[in-house]
Amino acid sequence: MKESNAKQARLTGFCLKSLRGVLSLFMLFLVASSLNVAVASAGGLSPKKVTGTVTDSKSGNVLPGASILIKGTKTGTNSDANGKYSLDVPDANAVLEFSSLGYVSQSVAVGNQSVINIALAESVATLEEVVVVGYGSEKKVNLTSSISSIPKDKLNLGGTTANAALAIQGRAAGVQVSQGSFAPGDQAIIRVRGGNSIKSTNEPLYVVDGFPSSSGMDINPNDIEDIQILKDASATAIYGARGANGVIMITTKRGLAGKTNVQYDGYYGVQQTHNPFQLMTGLEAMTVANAKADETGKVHPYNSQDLANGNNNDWFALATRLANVQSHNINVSGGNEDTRISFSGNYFSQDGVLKSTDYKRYTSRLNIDKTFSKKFKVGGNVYYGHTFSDFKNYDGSIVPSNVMYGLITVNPAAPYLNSDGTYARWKGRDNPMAWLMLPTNERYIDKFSINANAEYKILKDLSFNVNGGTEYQVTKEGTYLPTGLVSGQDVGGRAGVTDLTAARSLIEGYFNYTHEFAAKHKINAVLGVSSQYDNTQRLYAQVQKFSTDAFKYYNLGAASERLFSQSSMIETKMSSAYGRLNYSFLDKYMATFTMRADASSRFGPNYRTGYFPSGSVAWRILEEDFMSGLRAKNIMSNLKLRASYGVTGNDRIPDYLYLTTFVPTRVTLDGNNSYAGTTAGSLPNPNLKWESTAQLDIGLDMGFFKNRITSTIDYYRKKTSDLLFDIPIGDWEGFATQTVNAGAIENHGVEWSINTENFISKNFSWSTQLNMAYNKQSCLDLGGRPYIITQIAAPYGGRAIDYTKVEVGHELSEIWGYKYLGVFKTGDDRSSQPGSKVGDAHFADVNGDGKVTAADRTYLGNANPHFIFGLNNDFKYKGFTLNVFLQGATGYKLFNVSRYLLETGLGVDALNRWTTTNENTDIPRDGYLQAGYGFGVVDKFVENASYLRLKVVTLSYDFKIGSGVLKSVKTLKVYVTGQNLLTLTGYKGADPEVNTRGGAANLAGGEDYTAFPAYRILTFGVQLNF
Amino acid sequence: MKHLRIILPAVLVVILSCSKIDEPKVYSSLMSTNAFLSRADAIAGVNAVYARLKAPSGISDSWMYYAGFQTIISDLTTDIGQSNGGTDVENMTNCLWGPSNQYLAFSWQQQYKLVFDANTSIYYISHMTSITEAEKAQFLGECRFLRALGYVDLTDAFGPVILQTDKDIENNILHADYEAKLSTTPVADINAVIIADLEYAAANLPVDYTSHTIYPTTDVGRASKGAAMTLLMKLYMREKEWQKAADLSKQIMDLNIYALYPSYSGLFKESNLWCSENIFNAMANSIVDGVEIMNHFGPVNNAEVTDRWGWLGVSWYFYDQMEKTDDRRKDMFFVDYMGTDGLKYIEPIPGQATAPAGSTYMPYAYSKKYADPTGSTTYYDGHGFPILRYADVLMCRAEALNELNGPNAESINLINQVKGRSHATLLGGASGFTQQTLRDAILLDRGFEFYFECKRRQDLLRMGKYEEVVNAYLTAIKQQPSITLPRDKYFPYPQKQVDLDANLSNADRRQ
Repeated sequence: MKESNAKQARLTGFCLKSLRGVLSLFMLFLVASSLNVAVASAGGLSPKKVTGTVTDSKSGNVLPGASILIKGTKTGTNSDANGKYSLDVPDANAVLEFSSLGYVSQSVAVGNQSVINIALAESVATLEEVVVVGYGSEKKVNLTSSISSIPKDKLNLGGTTANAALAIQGRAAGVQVSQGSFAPGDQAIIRVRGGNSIKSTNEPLYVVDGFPSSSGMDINPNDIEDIQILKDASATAIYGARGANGVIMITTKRGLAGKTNVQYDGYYGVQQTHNPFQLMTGLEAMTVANAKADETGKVHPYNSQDLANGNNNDWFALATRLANVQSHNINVSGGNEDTRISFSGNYFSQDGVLKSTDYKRYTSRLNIDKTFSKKFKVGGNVYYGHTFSDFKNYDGSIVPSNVMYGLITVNPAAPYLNSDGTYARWKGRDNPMAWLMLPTNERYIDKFSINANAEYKILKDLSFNVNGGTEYQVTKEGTYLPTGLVSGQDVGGRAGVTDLTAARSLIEGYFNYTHEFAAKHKINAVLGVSSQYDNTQRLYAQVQKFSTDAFKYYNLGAASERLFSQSSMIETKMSSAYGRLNYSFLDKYMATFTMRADASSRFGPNYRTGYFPSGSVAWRILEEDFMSGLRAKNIMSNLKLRASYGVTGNDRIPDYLYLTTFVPTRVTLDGNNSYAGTTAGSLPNPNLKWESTAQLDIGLDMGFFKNRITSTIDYYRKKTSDLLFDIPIGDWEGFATQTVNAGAIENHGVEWSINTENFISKNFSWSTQLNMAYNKQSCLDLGGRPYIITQIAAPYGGRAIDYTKVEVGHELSEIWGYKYLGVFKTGDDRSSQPGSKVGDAHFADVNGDGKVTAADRTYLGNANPHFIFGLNNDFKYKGFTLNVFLQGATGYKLFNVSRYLLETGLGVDALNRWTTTNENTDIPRDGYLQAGYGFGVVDKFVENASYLRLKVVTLSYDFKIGSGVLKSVKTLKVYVTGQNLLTLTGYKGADPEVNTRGGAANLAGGEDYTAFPAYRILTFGVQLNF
Repeated sequence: MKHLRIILPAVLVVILSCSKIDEPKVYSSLMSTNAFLSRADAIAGVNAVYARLKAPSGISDSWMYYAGFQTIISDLTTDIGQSNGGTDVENMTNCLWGPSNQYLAFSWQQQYKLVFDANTSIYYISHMTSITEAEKAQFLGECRFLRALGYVDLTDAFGPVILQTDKDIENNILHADYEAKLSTTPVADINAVIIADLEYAAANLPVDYTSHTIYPTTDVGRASKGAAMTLLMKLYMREKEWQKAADLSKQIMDLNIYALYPSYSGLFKESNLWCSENIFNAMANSIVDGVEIMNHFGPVNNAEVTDRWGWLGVSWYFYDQMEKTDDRRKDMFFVDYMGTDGLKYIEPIPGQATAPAGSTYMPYAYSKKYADPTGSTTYYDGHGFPILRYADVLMCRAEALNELNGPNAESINLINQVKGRSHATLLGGASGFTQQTLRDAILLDRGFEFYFECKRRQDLLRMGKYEEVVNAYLTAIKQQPSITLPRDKYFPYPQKQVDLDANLSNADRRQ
């Protein structure tokens, strides 16, 4: 039995004034309830004792921890480690209820039996499942909206799965998770049904145990009980202005009534990378560089001494390592029917495959539930997490701190170490190992959250719920550029500290009314209000010129020059009211109406409040009489048609954008002293308002053969209008862009998931889960603009280049550039590129005007996949379980900048460049920029990145327990997991998931430039319950 | 029911307190309601406009506009300046620019940024009541000078442009329409605005800031009466209003506060923040608002000035025209030096395509004008940029008098004052010149004197020599001689601006 109160989001509406009082009240309850845990007991004298064993009906294995309750009372017990129980019952009329998580509950009348052995069937059916829907929960069978549910045993766990987003990668249809960077501790990118927005984030809203969290994905994945992904407007409308990108509802593990359960989960793994790039030797690279200089009449960059230095460093090998990853998690839970508690602690440590990149995380969580009376219950969650990362810069630029750029562009002939062990310089520059090892880049994140909820039953059918809490996160970054580096030496060492504090307080209250009329009409109504206050403060200081490197960033006062000291404070307020009405007739016809009104301080006075309505209907066709044949023959077990339509919003833009602001600047007016200035920071726009997404969803849920096969198909079409984005405006207005509401984007797609129990027997079973989704995006309007071009840093440095272009009818992030035709060979017509020489790159004259100009650029491919899928297979044979999980994406391209750099630089391809003796090649003599043509993206490096990845393979063994040395152990599982073992792709770069610009760059996805190297992980783990 | 006693009051409190929707409080920025209240606020509003002379940031890391990029518009597009650092800048050097060239876009953007900030401060300061009329006149005088400078630069480069004044700031507050398609204003009408601004500034600004009547410190970087007069003189020169230009030049000389600095190289020392020759500078300080002038102009692999990029330099074609004994050549260039890479950096030897062993050809001559060997060693430097200086006043007067009267002794004398300072061979008597040959001599010497001071293109156009001189240069450096007038009198409007407003037509300009 799933703990229904664990699954309820208990959100209730309150404003800030009452926050403190209500919170302290709940803190008191929390303390009281934890004290009560020990006192609880379940006994009572009775004339009859019943004993027995609870087993799994399929495997015959005993079931420890199953709940046995005397119906209509709170008296009960739990089965022990051997599945055995013993319970005193008042009389022979008693009925025992047997339940266990993931099994179908059974009731048995005691009668004259004194031994009742029971075999519980695993609940294959998802119909009994209860789903968290925001401000309440709902039986899955009654849902009218599109929600993907992922229980904990279907999460990707182990290895370097460090956050909740990676834990669901490939597991839910229509939810695209990609790892923009493989650096330890880096964030994953999630898109639910494609991106809606240009300026605002396209990341979903995370709600953890009912609390909308600014960094929800960062929680300890081991704490997760299950995850619901709300996808259509009917499901997300209850989150109104923040629901448009989907909502990820995370429920953490809660204590269950019964014997105390202690679980240890631990693993140790190794990560292995390999160099995806093939580089020339140092001598070859120097020879090619000199040859290029000869061809252009320039002096040799390398003299004879260089050529003879004999260095041939494999920088990649020097910079990488076989790296450890480990995690230790302990969870203690238990309680009785009144009080349940769950405590967990986790230590996670990942060394990067790139040296000097590490991530560590310590978390602890305490969840408490206390039932004070039949009317009143309270729950509370306390979470603390501390992370540390030693980070580097992978931003796709040519600055030397971008170590990956150095690794593929610094000549292997450059020396590595001096005889005294210091890092060698060459031609006045530091080598990439110095840049990897010497600077200090540390980030600490402390996150503390506490929230509590209470439910009070005012009447039998009417309850009032309150949810409130605070989330407090401090991110501290310290950097130090030491004097061991040339640039550090120039400034005498430079230190910087950033301190970012984000605090969020929330108080909500809602009424929940449930009633059944005449056994036909069921009503559930929710009505509530909510108030949220966010305060973000940032402090930044940078200083330089130290007498020693010893202080790093720990004592800024030791520096003699102060460069920056900046701070800012921003507040955001949101007040909301919401309501939802579910109506069900004969459990056959169902309808849901939801409405939320949000007022946000981010918008102008003219449009501060937004209204977000939705409605949905469902029809359980199988319950109709005309389907009775299928039902009776057990061919079909579920057939439900759903349809929903609604509007949700997006408010995640910077604060104060609608206001005229003035910001400080400084200038010298005498050459020595600083003069303070005040300059315009933004133009006024009192009409700034919500971005809104209207979504239609039609879905079909099916079950066959007692739900051995279940399947869901959804079609959706959503249109986002009043897009918040920065339209370019004439420079004469004073700014290059202005944030306005303009334009529209459409996404439509199909999602399909199917779960099958292919084979079930006592010793062997095989089940499959497959999900796939197609999404197509189309820009409908750009606020009257013909197009928007987005730039990225040029591969060779210098000023930015045009990278993507979006026009009406196109997707966001379509890569845009030149088509490459090959090299000019002797005798070729070069009139389209005057000034070009034989051996230069030849570009297509796309518009046919006889010359190659910027007007010949064209669309080269879209950066967002059109098709994503995940396929999971579980094979069980006796104690062994083999889990094979494949995941992939197709229909997209990446701009492989690394290959671009290598082909024109140190890559082995450069050996095959055009020369007078090697005319038969498609590699130009000296890159793609000669004679001023092709400055920008070249289609040769825009590669199909479709992939199929063997994401996770796990082989585990569950030991038979309950005897010998394992007597006190309830369950013991050992496993070995391989991650990213195999990737099938035509992509020539390091990894097809990479996105240098990260998730924030909605218009500039698909760039692969100096990404953290991809790796495979092999993990050994143990899971122990006692 | 005892819990009801707790819950129900809570419900009441919530419902009551939710009735009000909160305004956000702004902490870290100022608003129109509190940015211009006091005298100090007004001064901050004025100061910020000066920060726009060095773009982009005004805090540090400036390289655009008068932090160097303005030379790409006015020196690289002539026979003087060169760069080998990227397609777009090379297209400027080789006169292959088109509407999409990013340096045109940068120039346009930063000039308008200066105009916009000046307009903003003019609008708010003119509505202030807490300052005296004298203070208001001072502040508005400075802002109007800076606005005029922005429009002089805009019309030099682009001719008719969209005219925005402080009135437009007010319009945006009342009914913002940032997407309105505005028309360009003819240059003559913009000139009228410039003249009004500069006459106001000349009438209201002090000759210098030593009296401390409004500002407590001697702020040499502020616009002065002389600066306003000089900029107005430059405008009249452009418009060939020779008599007005000559009259103004005389009035500037009669202020009796300006003089040529004794040595040309001393004038450009980074440490020489301000001297008698300076009329208006973009000041800089490596810590306060450091620039990247030295990074862009400094030599590569040089032991004396280290870690610079050699991005901009003087063409050998032009360098070779300078007298070897002229201080402006002799003292001002990095040539023939032993590089830190062990190679000797030399000027290319004619007829010899590759450099002799052990040496390397420099692409152009690196100037010391903005890369003082005794200056900053840090990444950001504090080189000020001379926008108006006294030598220009003397040379303009010489030119205006020649245009009015033909060769004359005063013109020769003025030119020789400038040449003499640098030990260049002086011009002979006026009788040895015709009006045209003296004009040519002035043009040539202006090149030597003002290279990389954003004067050359304007000089060539004014004297009707742009097509001839630049095409000859392009031929000499084996590029297509492509300058055609009147097409190239103005640069094309930046393409992205044209896309926003079709009234900016490049129909008769370079495509």
